[in-house]
Parts: sequence; C-alpha cells; structure tokens
Amino acid sequence: MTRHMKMKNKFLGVFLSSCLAVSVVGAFNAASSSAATTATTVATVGGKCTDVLVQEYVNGSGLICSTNSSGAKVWTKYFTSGAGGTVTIGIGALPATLEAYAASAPPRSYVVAAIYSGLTRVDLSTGTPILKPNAADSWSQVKGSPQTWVFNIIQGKQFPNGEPMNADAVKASLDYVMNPKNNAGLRAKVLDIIKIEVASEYQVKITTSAPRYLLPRTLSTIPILPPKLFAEQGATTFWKTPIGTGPFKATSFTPGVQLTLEANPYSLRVKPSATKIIFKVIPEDSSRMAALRSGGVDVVTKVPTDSISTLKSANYDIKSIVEPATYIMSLMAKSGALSDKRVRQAFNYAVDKRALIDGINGGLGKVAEAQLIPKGLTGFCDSVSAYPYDLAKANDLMTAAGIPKKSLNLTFQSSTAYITNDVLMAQAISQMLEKLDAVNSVKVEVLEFSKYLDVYYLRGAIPRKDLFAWRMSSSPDLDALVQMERYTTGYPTSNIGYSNRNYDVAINAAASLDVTSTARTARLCKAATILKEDAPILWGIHTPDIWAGNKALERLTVDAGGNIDLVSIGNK
Amino acid sequence: MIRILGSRLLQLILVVIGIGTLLFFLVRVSGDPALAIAGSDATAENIASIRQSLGLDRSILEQYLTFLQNLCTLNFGESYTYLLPAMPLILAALPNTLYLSFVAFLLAIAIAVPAGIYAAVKRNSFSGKAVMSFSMLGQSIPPFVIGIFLILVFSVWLRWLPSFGNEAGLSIIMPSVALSAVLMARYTRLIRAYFLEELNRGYVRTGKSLGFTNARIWFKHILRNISVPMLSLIGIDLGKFVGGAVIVEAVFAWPGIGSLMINAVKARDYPLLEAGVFAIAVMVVLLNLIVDLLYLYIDPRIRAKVN
Repeated sequence: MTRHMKMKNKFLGVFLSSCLAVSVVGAFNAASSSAATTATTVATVGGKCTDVLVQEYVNGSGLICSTNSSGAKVWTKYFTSGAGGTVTIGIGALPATLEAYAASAPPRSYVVAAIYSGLTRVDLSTGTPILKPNAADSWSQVKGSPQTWVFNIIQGKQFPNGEPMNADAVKASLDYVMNPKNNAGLRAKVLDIIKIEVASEYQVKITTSAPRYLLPRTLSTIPILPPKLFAEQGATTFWKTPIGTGPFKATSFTPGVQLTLEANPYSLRVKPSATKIIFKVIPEDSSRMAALRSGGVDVVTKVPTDSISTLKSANYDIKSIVEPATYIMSLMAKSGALSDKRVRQAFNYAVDKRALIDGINGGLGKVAEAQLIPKGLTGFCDSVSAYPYDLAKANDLMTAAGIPKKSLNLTFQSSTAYITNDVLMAQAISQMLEKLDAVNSVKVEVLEFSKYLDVYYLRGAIPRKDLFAWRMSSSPDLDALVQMERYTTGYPTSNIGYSNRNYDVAINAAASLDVTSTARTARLCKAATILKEDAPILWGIHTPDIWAGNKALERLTVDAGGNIDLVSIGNK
Repeated sequence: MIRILGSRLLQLILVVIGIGTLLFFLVRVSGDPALAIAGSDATAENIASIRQSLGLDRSILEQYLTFLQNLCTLNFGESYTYLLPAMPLILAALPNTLYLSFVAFLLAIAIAVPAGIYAAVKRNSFSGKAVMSFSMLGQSIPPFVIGIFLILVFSVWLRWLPSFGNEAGLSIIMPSVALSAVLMARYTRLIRAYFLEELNRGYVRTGKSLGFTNARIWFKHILRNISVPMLSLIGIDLGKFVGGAVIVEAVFAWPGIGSLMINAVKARDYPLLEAGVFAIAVMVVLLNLIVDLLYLYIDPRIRAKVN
C-alpha cells in the first residue's frame, strides 16, 4: 500500500512537473511569439526600460530610455511638446509631391511619416529595427495560420476631416496600394497580400500567399488615409492638400521650393517638440552650407565631406550615420575573365575599402562586410566578414585563373551625384584594380542619372558592362532577405549571369521563416557565405549620410534609415 | 511698323515650332521617363503601366502630332513629377526669373554706362585704368563663383543679406549682382571702346567749337550714337542672360524656372521641360522684338527707312 501510495505520489509528482513544464514552455512560447505581437507599453519617467535610446510617446510627449547615474536603464523625459519652436531645415531636394504611396526612401520617407500614420512605426534609434504601435495598437499572427496577421486598430481617433480611423480606413488604403491601376510605387512591397478582411470596426485581418514575417514592418511604410475624402477627391487632388494623422500637418507646399509642417492636433500618438518645421530647398551644396553658417537655416542635409572640418571648427553639430545602403559593384559574370570566381575574388582583395573611407569620405562611413546590409539590420550574419585588402593574394588568384599579365581591359560604369562621392570612388577603385598585374586598364564610364537608370533596368542602348556601381538600399524593409533575393537565379534586374542553386535554395528557405527565428538567420548566413565565396559583387562601403545643425538646436538625431527625427527636434 | 510686328510674330511662331520639334525629339532620345518615375524597386508591370498612362507606348509620330496639337493651345500636359499642369507651374515661377533678370539687367546698365564713359574720358588716369581692371575681373569670373563669394562675405561673415530664396526685399541684391557682373563688365569695356571712337568724330569737335558742355556732348550726342550698336549686342546677350539666370538661381536657391528646368532634365519630365523651353524661347523672341522697336525710336535713319 505504502509502495502503491509512493508510486501514486511519484506519478502525481511527475504529472504536476510535466504540467508545470508545459506551462513554462507555453509561457515561453507565448513570450517568443510576442516578438511578433506588440501591445502598447506604458512607460513612466523613472520606470525601468531595456533598450537605451528607444523612445516612447506618453501623453503626447516623448520619453527616452537612458542610463542614470547609478547605471540603471530608466525612462527619462526627452522633450516637451511645443517647446521647440520653429526649426528650419535646408535640404537638397524635396519630393515633388506629398504622395503617400510612392516608393519610400529619404527624404520622402520622413516627410511621409511626419504627415501620415502607418499601421506600425519602426524605431531605429538603437540601430536595430524595433516595431512600435502607430495606427495599430497591437498585432499578431493567427495561431495555426502563419499567413494571416490580425491588427487591432487604435480606438477613438479620427482624421482631421472627421472620418474615423478604423479597419475600413486600413482596408481602403491597402486596397488602393494593391490595385495595379493606381501605379503605387509601394505596391511591390505588398504583392503577396491576397486578402484583407475587416473583422470588426477596429480589427483587420491580412493574409499573405506565404508566411510573411516582415509584414508588420513593411506596413509601417504604408500610410492610412481617410477613405471617403480620398475617394471623393481622387489621388492627384488629395496629394495637393493632404491630411493625415501623423505628428505634423502640411500647411504650405511649393514644389521644389519649400514645405511647411505644423504640429497636427489629430496626431495619433505624439505632439512634437517643434511647433513648426520648415524645409527649404537649397540644391547647391555650397549654398546650403552657407545658409547654415549665415543662420538662414538650423539644420542642413547631405553635408559634403569636404565641408565637415570647416563646420566642426565653427562648432556645428555634425551627425553622421551609415546609410542603410551599400555601395557595391555588380561584376559581369556572364562571360570572359569575370566568369571565373577567382578573378572576382581577386577584385575584392584588390580594393582597399578603408582607403575609400579615409581618402574620399573624410573618414566617415563603414567598410561593408561581404554582405548586402549594414550590421544591426535583420538578417546580418556575424560570421561573414569583408575581403581584406591583399594585393599579393589578388595577384595569386589571377595567376591561378590563368589570366595573362596586362590582358584585361575593363569598363566601370558609375553614376554621378547619385551616390555620395560616386565618381571619385569609381576613379579610385579603377586605379586600385589597375594595380593588378593582369589588368591593363579600367575605363570609368560616368552615366548621367537617366542613362544610369537605363543601364540599371537593362533597357536602352547602353549594355551593362564589366563593373556596374550602385547603391543597394535596405530601406524600408531593413532586412537582408529583400536584397539577397536580387542575386537569385532569374531576378529581373540582375542580368550579370550569376546563378547558384544552393544559394537559391537557402534564400527560398529563409523567405518562409519567422524573421526572429534562428533557422532563418542560419539560412541567410549560409546564403551570405555562398555569395561571398562566389563573389558576383565587388563589395565597397556603407556610405555616410551627414547632417549638420547649429548650436541652439536640440535633439538632432538621424536614424539608421537616414530619417531625421522630426518629432523630437527643437530649438532651445 | 505693322509689317515689322507681323514679320516678328511669324518669326516667333517658326522659332517656337522649330525649338519645340527639336526639343521633342531630343528629350525622347534621352531615355524613358517611366524608369525615373517608377523608382528602383518597381516591377516591369509598374513601368509598363506608367508608360501607358503617360502615352509613351504610342508611336513617336503619334506623340509628335499630339504635341503639335497641344502646342497650339499651350497645353503641354501634366508634369510627370509634380502631377500638375506644366505650363501653370512654369508661369508661377516665371515672374521670379523675370524679376531677377530685369533687376540684374538694369543694374548692369546703370553701372556700365557711367563706368564706361568715365573709363573713356579718363583713359590715361589711374582711376580709368582701375575701372578697366575691375571690368576685366568681372568678365573673367563666372557668375556662380561671384555668387558664392558674395554669400561668403555678406551672408556668412557679415550676416547682412539672406543667402537664399526670395522672401525679403533684400534677397534680390546678391543674385542680381552675381548675374549682372559679367554683363556689367562687358558693357563697361564696350561703351568705353565705342565712346573713344566717337570722341574723335567731327560732330564732337563741332560741338566743342560751338561751346557745348562736355555733359551735353557725352550724354545727348555720343551716348545716342553708341546706343545703336549697343542695342544689337543687348539683343544677342539677352538669350545668354536668361541662361545665366538659371545657374544663378541654383546658387541662391532662387525660386525661378531654373530649378524647375534642372529637375525636369533630371527626371525626364517632358511636359515641364517643353513648357519651360517654350517660355524661355518666347521670352527671348519678345525681348528681341522690343530691341527692334527701340532701334526705330533711337535711330531716325531706320525709322525713315521703315516709313
């Protein structure tokens, strides 16, 4: 009996332990899935936080996570709404329209984010994308159906014209972008959405053709518009005097001249520090720098590297970030010497990337690892590093490939004034490649922008030649996969003749996995390793994006996506 | 007079059609605007759809006939980049360009005439030579360099004048000085040369012997005589002057048609480019017409010939 009781107790113990273990695992799973599910967190001044630099909008104002004197990470007051006055920004170019659905890269991305709200918001303050609520309070994948996402929309908010922010508005906006007739530039980002359902007034279900873990992040770039007004006015009229629920409203806009933004009383999440932000278009670099130094503007964008020392010596605040983009050169691997991967590897060894940064970019920017995104973005692989500068090894590889001395005459196609210091970098790289014993000459062919686009799209009379320099941007996805897909077999704009079945398999496998899963990272790492070995690319650098502000300015911050933080910036 | 006006009007129509045709084919040779509009991540379907919506999928001849038809009604279509009718965009920016050009031209004349006369009558003095040295300097330095120098001195160092835009009344000073510098220097030298030539003419000696004052001889007689060749030069220079304004506008972020045109070229915005070039062509032809009419006013010999 005792033995029986002991057995029973032991069984009970095992059963309870199992239950406990299941609960713990369940809780853990729930916690894991919360990586893809976000609910509004309530931050308070002095409360604990986890990621330094991350911001939260509470009661309309901004808190920032910072380390206090005792080393603890706590929320501190970052800015007070309306205290920042007027901020004037001298900018090289503004979008020609305030269209919300055109392809999104700076400056359009931060202008659009200022006026409109997407379902989510990406906080890049720490350098790594952190998803935050915007028009959606929370979102999650449906259990058992990873293709379907549920977004819970913020309640009790409306557009400036009185239309409610709800699931209908979300559906109408996404339907518009997805309709091929509307030619929305962002349509390419939502091609795999197959169904949008209004589940309730404040809940929308979005289904994709395959599990799409980046969907909440992608939807941060697609603004939600007032559906009735947008339908009544039509897109062209609406973009002229647009309304939205972003932190600012556009009060005047003269294309190519000036854009004035003022704090938006209908903002969903935050009331900004500045009451007014004025963008003034000053295309000429030297004129823009002079405007800053004469006090005509408070901030300038795209500071030329040769102006940095002058501005620094005059105590201007210089902000340099590495653009979420990589300066690379596609190598024409279809035929000839470049079809041999040893030659392509040799080219990678022959280019001194550090010299490009120090000699041409004023020491700013970063050497690109042999990957397509900068460190910090999703899918970056720590184990794949840059080709070191090693001219001797490069020559050995060329010899091993059987390339006779002084036998190669190559053409290097470069843009002009499209990528920071593009022509100078093309000239420097061509000279570095000419140091290879087998290379006789590398001719730089500078293409004006429209011709450059023709070559990029493989249209027009000029074919893509041996080296084609371009800027691979990770914005707005900020993830490796989208960029790596460009080197899969048959990708439309990658007519360089590169194909590797193992690479294709790894990329396809990664595409169907959760963005936070280690399995996905492992597959992307495998693909990155293959790409580095095959070297269809000559990797260059992550170019710098440089801003400068005057001394009276507070909180001039530019995130890793190249977007200025318009919400917190202000004058003292 | 009516015959002159009629012939100039006919010339204007021919020039506009000629420039329009040339421009139509040149911009289309430069490439496909759909690529510039679509952006780097666009699908082939996107690009095809944009081409269709812009009418670029039709034959060149069909597009050209539509263009000529639209030219007659001054309808250049909607700008691809600004999504607004092209001509109103140009017309909105044109007053700024005309304002800048007009002030710069007046400044050039207002300074070149007395400086040229002074350099002629004081040709052997230090001050006369100094005027000529300055004019040589002005003619040698491109307007954008002068512009940057002015910004550095008057905006960055002294903080007296705004460095960009057209917001305050003072905004016009630096762009107009930069734009007028080359013309001012060129006219100073020409007026001096013409003036020196005229000083040796018989009518000047006659005037002096009759006891006319120098001021009367210089301003009433010599100036009137040299204004005829000067007008011919001004007519030729006006076209260059508008071209120079485009560069100066870029340096001072002046909201004229210059920046619009530069953006239109970059984006292959055909309608905006065509409307802009059309406006400039009409402006130059009209200004030349005004110059022709001024000939009639100044030179009685031409007036008699016409009559």
